[in-house]
Amino acid sequence: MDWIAIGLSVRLSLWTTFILLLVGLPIAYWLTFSKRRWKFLVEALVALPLVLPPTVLGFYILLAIGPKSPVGRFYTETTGWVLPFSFQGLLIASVLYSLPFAVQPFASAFKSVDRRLIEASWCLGVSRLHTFWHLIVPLSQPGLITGMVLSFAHTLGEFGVVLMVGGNLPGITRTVSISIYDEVQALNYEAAAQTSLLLLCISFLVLAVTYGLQRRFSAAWPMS
Amino acid sequence: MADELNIQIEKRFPKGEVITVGLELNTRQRPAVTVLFGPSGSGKTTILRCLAGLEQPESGFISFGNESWFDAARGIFLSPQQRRIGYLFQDYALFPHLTVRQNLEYGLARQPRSRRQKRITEMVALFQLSGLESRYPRQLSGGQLQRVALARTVAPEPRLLLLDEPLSALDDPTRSRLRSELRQLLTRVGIPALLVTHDRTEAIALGDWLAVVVQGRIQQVGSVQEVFGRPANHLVASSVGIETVLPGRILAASNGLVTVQLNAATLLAADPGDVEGPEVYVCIRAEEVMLSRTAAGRESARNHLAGTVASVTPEGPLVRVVLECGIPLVALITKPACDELNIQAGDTLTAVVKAISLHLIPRI
Repeated sequence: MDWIAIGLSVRLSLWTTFILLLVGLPIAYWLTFSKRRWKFLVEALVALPLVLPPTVLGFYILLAIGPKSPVGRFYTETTGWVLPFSFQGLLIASVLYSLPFAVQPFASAFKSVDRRLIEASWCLGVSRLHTFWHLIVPLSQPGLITGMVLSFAHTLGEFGVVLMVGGNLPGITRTVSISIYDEVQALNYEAAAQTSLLLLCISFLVLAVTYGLQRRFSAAWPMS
Repeated sequence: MADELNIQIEKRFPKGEVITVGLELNTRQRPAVTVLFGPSGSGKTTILRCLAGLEQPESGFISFGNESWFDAARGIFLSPQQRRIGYLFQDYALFPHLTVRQNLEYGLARQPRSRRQKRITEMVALFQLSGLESRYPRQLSGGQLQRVALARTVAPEPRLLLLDEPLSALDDPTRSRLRSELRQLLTRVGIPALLVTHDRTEAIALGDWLAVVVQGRIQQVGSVQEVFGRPANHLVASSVGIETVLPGRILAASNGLVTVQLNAATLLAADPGDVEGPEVYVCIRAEEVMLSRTAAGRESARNHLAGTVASVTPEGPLVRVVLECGIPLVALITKPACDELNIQAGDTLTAVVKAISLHLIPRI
């Protein structure tokens, strides 16, 4: 079994989930509470990775972070490294690719918080930020966990975007799914089967634990 | 410290309804519960939300003392946080993931710990919440929920309380019990309050002042007696529906009947059963007052009041007769009946009111 690839995939998934939590919460908050007319455009943009072929998304990301792009040039000038075919480049691609998997559950969790509770908090003189952390986040917990788990699981299994942006460098960008693909290409079915089974088990376990936890959460404070 | 509240606003809705409010309240007067009373959909809650800063009117201004909360012309709009008001929501909006104690503590987050603890102890004592501190809202009864919600609202020491249909979330028997409890609590708390309701009984039992809202406009402002006794127009008259509302005092009760003293008159009323104190409001609908030329003999459970006709006002097919009989009593009779009795101002008549037509509302 390709333990290096498995380790890399887990590391990539954890980082992606963490960054999506930081980036996804404010986006979801804005999508839920903003009254801007053009909000639907941002909603569509966030949902784009759901329908776009990973190769198309990967291609654009590759162009966007390549050495000729402003982002790529800035990164190279400041760090001396290049983004394509690096772990950092792969991370950027993963975050963009899994964005809807985090933002959509976050936003629907925020939306389900009773508007009057939020207004009650404001009328008690409590700031919007404090209301967010002490009221909206605790009451959205099941949705936030769902978003994080989906981001994690989705990153763990991604293939097309990785191939386009990361390539196939062992220990740097060679993730589990690429490793499985390689084994199959080399007709090494036994190794592919083992890794596949492991991925299947991890994915199922993570989802099962999440949904189990959610049942307990929703039983803990049903609305009075 | 508390001062005049001045509201002159216009709020438009996408569907075309317009709410226009002109209201000045001197919140220094005691006791000071002002009731915004009117039928559902008349715009009462919207007015309250505009006051809280939860909705922004299109034009006009709201000022509290010398502080401007909203001024369309000068582009001022204070957030709910900046207004230092207390808002009690219809279904209380207690935070379901927090205990009673945490709910009380929530609005005090910025205060130092010692001050916070002291305030919570005060609130627990004032609202009789001892023993409930570690319970969650879902573990509380309707009455307890109301007390916790009011305690949470009062804890950060708001300058003005806004209450949106505070009793509508309750079932009937609980409601009549909690009505007097709420009045007691509001009196004890001593913060000027503006309360919204569509329920006549609630308006009479809880309010000192009444502002009647119909069709998006304040139609009349005055004391409870004034508004019910002298409706400014037909909209107010039809929405209040009771013409005579007078303060009285229960003298005795027996056989399901109570004797009530009203100024110079003593009347018999059916015992409603839920009146504790001697102070009540006596409500009589004008349709239930019968007029007669002869001073008929006393029958049991009927009130006969002789008096002088103060005014006769035709109202469509009906005639409104005000009889001065120790109390100003309003009667609404048909035009033929009026012609038959040939009622003129200055005449001496007898009014007959059944004991069960006297509706008593407890008053603290």
